[in-house]
Amino acid sequence: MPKLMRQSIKLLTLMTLALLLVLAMACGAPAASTENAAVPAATEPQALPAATTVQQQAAQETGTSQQPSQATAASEQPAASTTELEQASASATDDVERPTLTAGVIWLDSPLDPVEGAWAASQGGMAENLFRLSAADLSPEPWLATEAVQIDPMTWQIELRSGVRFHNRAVMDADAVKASLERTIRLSPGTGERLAIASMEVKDSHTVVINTTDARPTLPGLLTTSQTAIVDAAAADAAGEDNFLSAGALTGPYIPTEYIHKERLSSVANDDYWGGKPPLAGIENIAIPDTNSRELALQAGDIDFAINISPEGVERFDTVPDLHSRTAGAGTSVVMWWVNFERGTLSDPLVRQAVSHAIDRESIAGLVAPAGTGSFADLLLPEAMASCPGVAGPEYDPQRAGELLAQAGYIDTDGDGYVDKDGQALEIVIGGYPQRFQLPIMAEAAQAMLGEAGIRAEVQITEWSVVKEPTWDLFGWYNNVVDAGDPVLNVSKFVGLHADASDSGANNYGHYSNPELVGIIAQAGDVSDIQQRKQIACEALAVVAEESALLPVAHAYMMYGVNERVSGFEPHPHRLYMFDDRIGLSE
Amino acid sequence: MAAYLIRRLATLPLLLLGISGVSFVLLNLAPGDPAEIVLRQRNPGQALNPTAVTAMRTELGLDAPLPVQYVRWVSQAIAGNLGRSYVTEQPVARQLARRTVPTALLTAAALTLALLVAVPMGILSARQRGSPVDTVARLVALVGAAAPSYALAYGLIILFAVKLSWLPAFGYGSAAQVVLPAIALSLAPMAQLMRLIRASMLETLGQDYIRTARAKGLSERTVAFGHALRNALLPAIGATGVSLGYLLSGAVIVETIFTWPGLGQLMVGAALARDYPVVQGFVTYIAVVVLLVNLIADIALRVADPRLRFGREGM
Repeated sequence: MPKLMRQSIKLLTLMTLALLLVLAMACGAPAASTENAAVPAATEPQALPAATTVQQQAAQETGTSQQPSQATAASEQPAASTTELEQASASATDDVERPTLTAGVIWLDSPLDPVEGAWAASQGGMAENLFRLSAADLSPEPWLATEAVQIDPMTWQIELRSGVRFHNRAVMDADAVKASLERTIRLSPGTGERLAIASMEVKDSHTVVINTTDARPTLPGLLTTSQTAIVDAAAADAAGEDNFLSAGALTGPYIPTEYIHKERLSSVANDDYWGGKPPLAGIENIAIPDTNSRELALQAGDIDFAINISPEGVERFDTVPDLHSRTAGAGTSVVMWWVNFERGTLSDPLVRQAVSHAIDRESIAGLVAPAGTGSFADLLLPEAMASCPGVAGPEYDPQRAGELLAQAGYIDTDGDGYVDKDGQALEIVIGGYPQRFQLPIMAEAAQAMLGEAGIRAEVQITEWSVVKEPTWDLFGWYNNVVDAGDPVLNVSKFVGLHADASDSGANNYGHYSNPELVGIIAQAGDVSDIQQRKQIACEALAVVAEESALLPVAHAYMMYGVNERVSGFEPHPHRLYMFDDRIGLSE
Repeated sequence: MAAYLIRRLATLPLLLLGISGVSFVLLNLAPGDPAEIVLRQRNPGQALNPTAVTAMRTELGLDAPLPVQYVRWVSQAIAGNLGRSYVTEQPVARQLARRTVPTALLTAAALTLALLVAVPMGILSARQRGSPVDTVARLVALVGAAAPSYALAYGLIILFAVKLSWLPAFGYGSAAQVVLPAIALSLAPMAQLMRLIRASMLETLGQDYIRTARAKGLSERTVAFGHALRNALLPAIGATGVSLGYLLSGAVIVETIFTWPGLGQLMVGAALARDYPVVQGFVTYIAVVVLLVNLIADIALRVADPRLRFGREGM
């Protein structure tokens, strides 16, 4: 063999060997972590807490004209009942080596500290709040609290669960809860404004009294958001912003041990957990942003659990042995369009209504959220949040759309199939962003339907922050609509108001404004009865629907793919709650 | 050679200024206000206060004219400061450094694989033109050039991870996890190199000095490997440098699909999050790498080919 050929082969062989050597060395060590901490030592299990209730008492002794009704936050048992907790604990014996669950999640790009609005710690079973939303009806129920009593419209007394320790072994008592909420107010001004806490008083080691600056009938609900998760404030502050993990400042059944942003979040079981020893040794959350990759990783057996799977994935998993799709069967997020009231095109009520009648929203819902993965959203809020008989959104009626366009002066004068007025074609821009697969599909379907009605539509799928620019007429949006379990709050935030109708402009991307709506929302003021609040929300939704102020399309379910080894997983309709002390993995 | 090297090195800063300048302008033309993006990241779910937005624009230096912003960025970049990520608030240079090793591993594996297949297949294909080996090689080259890397990546995962369970579907941490992404990434440069080497070998085998070698009675193997190969491989040296650019751009897709924590995945995440400092830093960093590798390839070509070396220096 000629010399050059021999040299080439030798060189390539050496390169291959060198490469394999480098790979073996490099892959043996994980990438540098951004947050690391020693795992607190496992200690003896804590006694289970007593059964809990939330009660809200009438403020009969306050002298105020408005009397909050009883049991706004209905009495509920925690989702994990005592019996279930005992079973979970029993399954986690010391003699059997517990498995670790590997979960494929979408993003791991936010900080771990819940006060920064991040969900990772809550979803991962690491952080807990005083209250959480019930899986059954999304009302607030006790979690680290055992009871909430409204003493008067501006005073709440909260009883705390005993036997709760932070991951660093410090006891969670009334002082710790007070410090945690003070930290939330300090570091998350928006949350502080919403809570409106004037002062907090430690009545005894398990009782905190909260005074608000004005009536806060939904305070337990407001304490379910991730920013209000209970942390060991002193430890977290001492550790510093970039080292939250090392503080051991959370209380959940799993203790974070390593967090590499956008890569993985590892945890180990908190054997000191107030609910008992968790069935798993730990949970490994892996960021797999690509939906197809996440689904294929589950199919390949590389992960046990995949979050946010596609409708196609649901169909596939339900026909593949060993895999299942799981959902709570209730949509807590809405897929919708903002309607731009400031751009001109849709500020004409006739044109706006014509557009809303020209789009078959129910058919589009069937495309983006087929049966089993979501439902048609005629109104903004899902049934679980507010059922509004007699209130309906704009119906699909192309003929009516044509009539409305003609009334507005738009007719097809040049025979090109599109209406025009004064020589100007009616053209609307449909915006959206690609990260939610529903939005491009919605935009293209609407474009075709509007074209049938003689309205020229241009699709511009760019990214979400474009919603704040005056370049679109309809803008696709995906958002949670069950915040704090309060229907009034969730209608309000989409029309630029707080639940008390103050501060117009927040999150009102369509620039919609209606004094009638402000008046309706203002009625909620200090109303604590949930049925009354639902009624007020329905009145507001009727106005929103009549004016086509928003165009809801679908309520999307949280969809999970799991392999058959996963046990004890009960999907919750809200994205904040994913792993708890019940989830396990059989051998 | 020294003069050539100095000339090439002197053009590098100008090229980098051009690339980073275009990138800087394009990013600033993109819709969306970085100040609002930062505030949204830091206060998720909360309404934006116009005063806070204005203050953040000042804090980020976005209130200055674009040329001033660019000059400021360049002066900091020269000192190794590429700014801070809007999302993680970490230094961009640190993020790029941390992601470099995984991408370097993946591209090195893909490039080695491409060379290991492309060089022998290209030579064999040329020597046995029209044979079944040639047909297979051309087919591989055609598929490699035509198939999008994402389709190939998903196909590999379905076959080797889902159906056969031979290899993991994603991840970074073991030698087995590099196999599928390296194959997916290597196919395009492999196809390009194979076609180039085949064409170059065929051209070389038809030249006068080869005919002379044959006339002297040398065996066909000696003619091919002893006389033709060196000249035939020369274009591949330059093309290998160019391939690195393809590999790095392909890595953006492949790393996302295989959840490989490299520069490509960082770039995709940064682009989607409108994390402009990271995108700008990434573009500049990749430009430096590609320009340097191409320079090395050109130097290697001159070392291997005396005609280029002497020709240039004689000018």
